Amino acid sequence: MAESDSKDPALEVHDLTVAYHKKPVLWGVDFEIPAGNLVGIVGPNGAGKSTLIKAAMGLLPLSNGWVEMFGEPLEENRHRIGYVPQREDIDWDFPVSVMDVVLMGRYGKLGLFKWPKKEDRLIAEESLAKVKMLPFANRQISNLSGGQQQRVFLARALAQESDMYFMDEPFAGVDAATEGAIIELLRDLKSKGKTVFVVHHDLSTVKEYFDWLILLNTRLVAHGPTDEVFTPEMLGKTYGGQLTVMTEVAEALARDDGLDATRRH
Amino acid sequence: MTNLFKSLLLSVAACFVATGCGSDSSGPENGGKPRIVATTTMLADMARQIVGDKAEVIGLMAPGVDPHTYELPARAIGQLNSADLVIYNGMLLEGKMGELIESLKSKGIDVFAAASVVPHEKLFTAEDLGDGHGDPHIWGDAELWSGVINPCSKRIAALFPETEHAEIGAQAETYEGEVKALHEWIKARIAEVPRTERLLVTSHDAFNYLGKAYAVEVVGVQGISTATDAGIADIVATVDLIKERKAKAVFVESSVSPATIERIAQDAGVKIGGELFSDSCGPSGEMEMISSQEYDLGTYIGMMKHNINTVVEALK
Amino acid sequence: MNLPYSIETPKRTNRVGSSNIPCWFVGILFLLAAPSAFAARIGDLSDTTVLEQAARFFMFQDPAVRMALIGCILLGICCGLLGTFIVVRQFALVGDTLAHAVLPGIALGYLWSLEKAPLPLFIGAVATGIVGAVIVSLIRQTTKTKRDSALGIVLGGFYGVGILLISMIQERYPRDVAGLKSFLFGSAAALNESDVWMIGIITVVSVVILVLFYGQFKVVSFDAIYARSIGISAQFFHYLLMLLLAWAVVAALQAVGVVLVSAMLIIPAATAYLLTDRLHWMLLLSTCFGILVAAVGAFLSFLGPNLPTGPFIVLTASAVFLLVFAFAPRHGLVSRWWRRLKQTRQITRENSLKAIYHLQEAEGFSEEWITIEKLSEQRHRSAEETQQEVTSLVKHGLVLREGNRLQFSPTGKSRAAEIVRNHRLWELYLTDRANIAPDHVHDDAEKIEHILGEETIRRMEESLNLPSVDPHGSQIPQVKKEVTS
Repeated sequence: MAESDSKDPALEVHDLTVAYHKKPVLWGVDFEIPAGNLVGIVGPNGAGKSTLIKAAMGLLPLSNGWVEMFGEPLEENRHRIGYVPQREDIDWDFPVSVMDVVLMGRYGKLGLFKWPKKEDRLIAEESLAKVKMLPFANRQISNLSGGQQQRVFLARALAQESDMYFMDEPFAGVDAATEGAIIELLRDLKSKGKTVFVVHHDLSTVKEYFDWLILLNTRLVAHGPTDEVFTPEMLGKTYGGQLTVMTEVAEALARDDGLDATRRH
Repeated sequence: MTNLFKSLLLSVAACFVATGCGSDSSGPENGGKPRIVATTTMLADMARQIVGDKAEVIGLMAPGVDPHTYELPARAIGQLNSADLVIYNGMLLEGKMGELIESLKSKGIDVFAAASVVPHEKLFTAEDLGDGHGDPHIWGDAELWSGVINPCSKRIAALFPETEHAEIGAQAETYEGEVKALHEWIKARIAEVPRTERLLVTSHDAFNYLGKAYAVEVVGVQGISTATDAGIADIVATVDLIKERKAKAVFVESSVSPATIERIAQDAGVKIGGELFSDSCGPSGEMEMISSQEYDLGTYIGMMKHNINTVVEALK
Repeated sequence: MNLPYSIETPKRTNRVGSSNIPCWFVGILFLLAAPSAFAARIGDLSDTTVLEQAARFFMFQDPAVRMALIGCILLGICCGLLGTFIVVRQFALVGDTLAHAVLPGIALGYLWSLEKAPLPLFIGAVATGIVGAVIVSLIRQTTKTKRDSALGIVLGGFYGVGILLISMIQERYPRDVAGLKSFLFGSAAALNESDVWMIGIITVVSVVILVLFYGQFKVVSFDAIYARSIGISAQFFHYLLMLLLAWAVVAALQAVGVVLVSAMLIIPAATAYLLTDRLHWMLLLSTCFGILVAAVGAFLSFLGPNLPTGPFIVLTASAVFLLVFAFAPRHGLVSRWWRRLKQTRQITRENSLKAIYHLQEAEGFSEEWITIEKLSEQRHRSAEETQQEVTSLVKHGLVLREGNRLQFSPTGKSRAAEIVRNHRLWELYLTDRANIAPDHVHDDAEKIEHILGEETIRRMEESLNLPSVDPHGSQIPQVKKEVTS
């Protein structure tokens, strides 16, 4: 399927602006990412990395701009994207088993009444096997360690059999062994032509893991192949103090004092 | 922005203060008439019959209101506080409101409880009934009720100068005569119903005095107060009783939900004989005509006639 | 209670409240004077015993009993199902909020139609219920007010408006207020056929919708954001659930009243939550509990006069919850206490076995018989306590006793060897692999020895290359265990 869209970028974002309580979290973000890449999204805390993913997936309202996937609007392509959210958003006491959760990944493929068939179960089992969680299939989800929970969510996304994945800090709070297993999986996905976007916080592994990068700090600082973009200069712009004027303007606008605040400088 | 908010807050507060301070015009200001506040429609009617236009009579409860569960609105408190005389039934008919009304004495307001002038042996007290409280529905017995008129008129007269007392006394006596005549009329009508058929089944125990005075057996599904509910067992037991006694009809009440009686009527296969005014008179000014007699349902006498006519027609 | 009896009525047998005035006297009174036929509450006239009432209930002859029972059971099903979803979403008090939010709707429905026909009241109630649910969502989305406060705001605000409207109605149309208020306080006893039909329809609709869209409800309740990412509208299913809830609340109001509706939604589901960690089982159990408490509550309320059904249902539900809380197989209070007790006893027994083993070892295993005195010394226990321990060991077939001395039974011997092996192996493991000083490992091993499983032992033995001596130089006993495939 990815072949037929090889002319269209996997994800195209144009002038994307997302505001939260009048404060811009993302501002005028513009990029195109070709398919079949492992893309790291990198930036300091509060840079809007999670917001970018959620906005790209239509989970947040956009103040400005648009998003297209494979050359088409998002809604046409819902069935082709898989999402791995941050772990904290879940109530772990919810009475579902690991298998229940992974089966949810198949719901996008089921009809109006989401009754999973045998083949859906098989796919779910395969996904669990890929993340080495199959023995835990019947456990309730609270009886798992952090890394195991992360892998369950990954399996859920894999069960969707999507062409594009968005993962929000999949390596956070995960032990080294799990991290290694996850990156293996991601590379496997890439080899099948899938595109994977990963919000990542650990700069030391960026060069090793990702072949494309998006550097973000409310504004898009840079995007492109890792070799080109992962430079001290770019990193300085992302993490350093050079964007403080921008953030000050943003704060002032949020306070609704208009641009008078900036004129006083 | 904050300034606007502050001024908004202040004006709202000012409104509250204004309504709180502003009370209804009290006695001296409304043309000099004394103000009498009565709780139930029966008592308000009694006061009006005695005093006519000479005083302003305010009835707190509208027709059809259930006195057992009546909640005092804020305006009524103002009216009570500005009254010259407050008349209430007592014996917990008005629930906790009785205490509140008694406390008005300390403010120099005269308070008259109808039940207090009924001879003790004629009352169904708490001991008689083995219950927590006595039966306050004293107006069911017209003769008993007529005994309240004279003491009531004396208290009303006390609001006026000596010169008026005679006229008020005469009006009270006339009314007392009418109520006593009502008592005889009721006896005659009830006599039309054979003794065995005199079973009055209603929603709550509001007709004990009526039953005793006129030799009618009365059964209420709920207790003395409508605040207690009827359970499933009560409904079944009532149905049993009706079937056993081959009663001809059951009756709904104006101030209580008819659902229970409707259920019983359906299960027992018996008709609903009509609606009785319990705990209240009917709508004021609404006239009814039975056997070439016309009466105002909003008055005590009209209400009683309606009730008796309804019962007798259904049971005879 | 004195009940001067009314004449010419067939005398019932066993009348309670027998008069202090003998019957002949009443008869004379009647002949002499105007008879004082008297009145009473039906509840005081009934004289059936509790057993008679119980028997009558199960005959299901009385329509009132049938209606109340069927109505309450249907409600139990409906509330059990819907309650499950709000309990797992930590949104349980929405039931209470809806119960209060429907009040202005009832008043408005009445004002609009000016009669107490059920349909306008119902529509009004559901309408304001939904509006309330929408406002709760809006408050949460647009301000930082949390779930519980948002629910409280709507609950209080709508209820206040409702009371205001009803007071207005009381002023203008007082004759119907009694009926409106009964909507609030509920009376299962007064349920008629059309009420039960309405409850039935609502229950059937709820069941059908929940079954058909079970998957969507599950994923939306568990992870609303993920649901949206795969194209399932979390908003739609949230409001669908709220709609079903509003219907159920309005139906339940008539049977149990506004205060108790919330309890019927929450308690059966919360009880089910104690027993399972699978959503489908929870739904099933919750429904069963709903049916159970409804039936039992209706039954109990039938046993005596003037007993309202709603509170009995809720009391039954609470009692069931407490029972499950205490006795649930895995997590119940009593179960846990019992398990801990058994464990403690087992550990004591095993420590005794260990002590006997050490005593034998000290003599180089030459003497099989050990005196109880020596055991009590070794264990630092009094003679009595040791006697009790020995009795317990004998009872469990671990030790053979002869007068004042004892020796191992074959089972006891192998278990003792296991314990000692576990202990010494663990000590070795800690010193060898975890680099803990030999004098620090004993206490740890004391605890671990009782709970090491065979699998772990095997792996430790392999990893330590089948050792024979522990850090203190003692022999590690070899225990032959059959390999079970």
